[in-house]
Amino acid sequence: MKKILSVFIFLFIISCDDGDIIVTSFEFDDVNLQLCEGSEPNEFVFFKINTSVNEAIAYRFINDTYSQTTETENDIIIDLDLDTNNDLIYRQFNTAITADYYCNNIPNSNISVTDELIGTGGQAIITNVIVSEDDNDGVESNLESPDGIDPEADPDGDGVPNYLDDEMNDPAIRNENATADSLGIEDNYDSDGDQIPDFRDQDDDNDNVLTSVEFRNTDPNSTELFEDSDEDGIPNYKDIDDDGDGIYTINEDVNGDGDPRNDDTDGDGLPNYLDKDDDNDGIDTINEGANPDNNGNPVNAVDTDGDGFPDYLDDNTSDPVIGQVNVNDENLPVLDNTVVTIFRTTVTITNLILNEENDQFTDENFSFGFRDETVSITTPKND
Amino acid sequence: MIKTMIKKIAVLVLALVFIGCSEGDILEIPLDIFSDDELQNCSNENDNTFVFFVIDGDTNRSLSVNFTDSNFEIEPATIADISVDEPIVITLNTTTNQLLYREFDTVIDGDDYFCNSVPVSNVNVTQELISSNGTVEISYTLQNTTGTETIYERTVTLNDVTLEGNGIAIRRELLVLGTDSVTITN
Repeated sequence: MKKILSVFIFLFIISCDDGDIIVTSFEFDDVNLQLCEGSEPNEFVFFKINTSVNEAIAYRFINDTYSQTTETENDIIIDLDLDTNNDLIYRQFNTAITADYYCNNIPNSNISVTDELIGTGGQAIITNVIVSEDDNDGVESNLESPDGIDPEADPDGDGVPNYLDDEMNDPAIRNENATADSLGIEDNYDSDGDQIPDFRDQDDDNDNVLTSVEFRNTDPNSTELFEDSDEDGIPNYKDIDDDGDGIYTINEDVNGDGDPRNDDTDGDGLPNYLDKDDDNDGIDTINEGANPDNNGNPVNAVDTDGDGFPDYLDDNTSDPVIGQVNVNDENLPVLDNTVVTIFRTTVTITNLILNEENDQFTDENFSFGFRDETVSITTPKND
Repeated sequence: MIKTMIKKIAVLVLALVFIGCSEGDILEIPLDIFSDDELQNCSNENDNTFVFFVIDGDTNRSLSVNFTDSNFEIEPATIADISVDEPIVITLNTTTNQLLYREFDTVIDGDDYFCNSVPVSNVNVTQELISSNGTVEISYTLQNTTGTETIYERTVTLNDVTLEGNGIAIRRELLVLGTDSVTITN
């Protein structure tokens, strides 16, 4: 009986000893970094939650230069300071918590904090950089550059990515050929010369037919990866005149709606920009005086019968069944460009001092890791 | 032997009854204790969430209504943001718009407790009643106009609410949460 009693007393003592749980380091490597925006202006909370052991760590700060979708020019360095709401808070809970624990106007009534450590000294270092930009055109970035080179890589570590680096393997030579008017994009990285490198350009040849539409080879007998309708050696997605009829693809947008794909004058199922004989009269467009001054623009195309329809869009015999005026001679709409951009924020705490004396806690630094934010950024093209 | 057993059981049962019934006084939740307390508010403009609350410091209790509304301005900037004729009506629900009655184990500071991105760690809720039905009405009346300012009185009223929890249900057809003053610079 006495033995049982002593066991009970022992258990009682253990169970009542809810004194400080000794934390020797913060272990949050396996969980995602999350972010929420607080109620104060420019207030942010980065946090990680370990649901399996009911613990979480959060860094709250107020800073008017940080944004999830803006690159940091310099590292943002903030001193931990309880009084200004710049604090690192590690907590253990009586139950599992979810992301809405933070930045919630009304605290959850079922959650209580069983243990807490607060960083009272140290610095937070926050950086945000673009780690990827892609035009989402279906062509891998390293296929949109010469020799399969990754355009965004920086093998010589000089801070200049390959597509801008004059010598990609010499750290002493950077983007020397950049000028006020030119980004200094290296040869073969920008097919249409619109200052948007191909891996970021939804329309690599600026012909208003997006790369995503025109790169795939639709010929089942061909072994080529990319489609080349006029077989001039330049694949369609880089070819300003896809059918080789002398009129540039962008100018075969007869109705001028910005999309050459819906213009098929002779109704043969092949849009004009891929059709060597746009009016199906048996004479190829290139032989119908469509482009007398060889500038790819049919503004002064020959109109033999003077009916207003240029010969290359006029089959002359069954007029007016086939015949069209090209309204897109002068005013070319150019499509906007959308780049899928991934911003990566990295948060690190250094020189950490905790509110409780804890000899077992040895980590001076704690890395929150990084968090990626993907956004589509659309900019108008100016050519 | 059996008699003592019965006695013991009787004592136990009686004790349980007493303990069990001691929660009964919660039934007397006096919502009017908040009538003298100042109406406060806070918000998170990033997700258009707002809270109006009153705190009774003497009894460590709060009454709060929280809601999400993309059109609501908690600090109206111009007279155009205010309608004296038509009050703003928000319907309570089970998720984002609720009336909450809470009792705490300690004194709370409303500014710290509500709308804090990281909740305070030393406050625990000992009793909670929630109303998920009824409506919130936010109305403005013109109080004073000076050369530089226009001052409105804002009243937050709850209609047809039922606070429920722990087997308790308190119904009110009309409950005035409180009034505050809104000053707009002309």
